[in-house]
Amino acid sequence: MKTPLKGRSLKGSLPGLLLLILIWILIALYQREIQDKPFPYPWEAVQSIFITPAAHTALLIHAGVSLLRWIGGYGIALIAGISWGIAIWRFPLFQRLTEPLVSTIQLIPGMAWIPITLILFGLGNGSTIFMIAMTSLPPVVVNTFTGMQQLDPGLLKIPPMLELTEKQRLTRIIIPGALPSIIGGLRIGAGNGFRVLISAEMVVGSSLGLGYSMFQSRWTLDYASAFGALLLIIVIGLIFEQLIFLPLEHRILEKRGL
Amino acid sequence: MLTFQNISHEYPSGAETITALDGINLRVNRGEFLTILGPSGSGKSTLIHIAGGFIRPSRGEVRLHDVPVEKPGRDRAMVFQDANLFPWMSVRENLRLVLENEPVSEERKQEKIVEVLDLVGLKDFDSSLPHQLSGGMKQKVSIARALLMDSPLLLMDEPFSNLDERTRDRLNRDLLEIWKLRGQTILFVTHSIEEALRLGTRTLLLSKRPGKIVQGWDTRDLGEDISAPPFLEIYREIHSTMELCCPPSYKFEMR
Ligand SMILES: Nc1ncnc2c1ncn2[C@@H]1O[C@H](COP(=O)(O)OP(=O)(O)OP(=O)(O)O)[C@@H](O)[C@H]1O
Ligand SMILES: [Mg+2]
Repeated sequence: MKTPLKGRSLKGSLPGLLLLILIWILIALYQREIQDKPFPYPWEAVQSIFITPAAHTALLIHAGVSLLRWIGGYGIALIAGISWGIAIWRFPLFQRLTEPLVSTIQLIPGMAWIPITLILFGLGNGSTIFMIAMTSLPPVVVNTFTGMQQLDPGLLKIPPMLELTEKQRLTRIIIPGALPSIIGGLRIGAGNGFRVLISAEMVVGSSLGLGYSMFQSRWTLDYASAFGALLLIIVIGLIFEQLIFLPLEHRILEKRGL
Repeated sequence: MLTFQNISHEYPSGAETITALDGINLRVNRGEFLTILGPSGSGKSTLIHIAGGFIRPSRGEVRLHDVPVEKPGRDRAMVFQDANLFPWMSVRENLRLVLENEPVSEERKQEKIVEVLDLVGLKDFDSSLPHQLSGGMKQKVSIARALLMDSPLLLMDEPFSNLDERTRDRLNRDLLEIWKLRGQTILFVTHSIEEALRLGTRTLLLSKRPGKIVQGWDTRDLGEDISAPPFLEIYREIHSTMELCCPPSYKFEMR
């Protein structure tokens, strides 16, 4: 059975989170006390978020940079993806020309963009933003298009009967009608982009970003801060999923009685 | 005012074609309530969608006021079998869309919406969303939308066939009131003899595949009492004609 949206709220996932923390503590206990390995406790990870050793960049700054990169790449994917989806729906020739391109982009694993992006943008922001955009884009395009295509044909009889203009038809009927599907695509795209962001930063991050900072712990042996970074990644992900996308989806579906 | 000239229509079906309509000639007169009666698959929807401009006929021409019908338009308001309301818009917003490009003030538009909601008896539901309404109420909104178009011709494709009998009877009565009040010309398609007789001033029978006009009846002034002798008489006559023209495979409702 599908979990109803309401059941997936923040409060609902609290017991699961507590269990996770408990498991973490147990593993750390075992690793530290018996295996003698420097496995950080949760509180050490949390502490590392707020207290930074001298000469290191604070985790929150890394997080801020990651977030800005993500917003940049995702913003591009959002605008380009929705426009692309609309264009595919509207112009059959454009569909024939560019649909294979979308499927191809969709097939490329995020990290496989690295050679291309390194040539195009070198290390740093440009590369990460490009990789986020490329991995967020396909679901946005596909969901925008299919959402528009799957509109109830009965509804499509109304605009010509009312002699609405092409613009009115698009903005008042087609796009709102496809909205649930578009939001779904945006949610998948956001997840794709966020995941590739962290891995991309490990390679092309150039001294900033959560991914970069995690990867650095290989040399600094500051495992607490690597776990702190991981915590921040999870928190950012949860905020987007739980506080932005789920309520938005819920509102849109509820209005339609779904 | 509306004429069908030698209308035929075929649908492709694999390698073959299905002839849905064959040589329909018909004139709908101004102010009349014409019901078209036919069994399932006789091409009623095809015929009325052609009048609405939603389907281009394979042959022949439909003219409204002597102008060929080529696409849907505001001069032909259509009510479909499904209400086809936009689920994300409230009742008021659905109706407001009709007036989107009207060159009148916003206050006037809102007045018109209230008037038409009053007419169909949904004054208190203007802010409801479609999914909060019953089937009958949705269909009323759909009728309100058609009325708001202020077109001289109303096309209705079995608008009440998805509703329960009592709701349908009530909406039949409401529709008659509205027709008397507004004086629009109505072309109404149904598979129910009773509904055709109750509503129409004239009833035409369409045969099954290919759809052809079999016969027409003057059905004015039959009254509402379906057990009254004139009503029963014509009911029986149409019923037996239907049995002859388009036998089995479809059971007609008996009373
Ligand atoms: N899009 C289509 N493609 C192929 N055949 C179709 C299509 N639409 C209708 N037909 C066929 O054309 C014939 C007439 O269909 P139509 O829907 O006009 O009948 P109807 O009288 O409205 O039936 P009902 O009472 O079931 O609504 C039927 O045999 C149907 O199978
Ligand atoms: Mg039909």
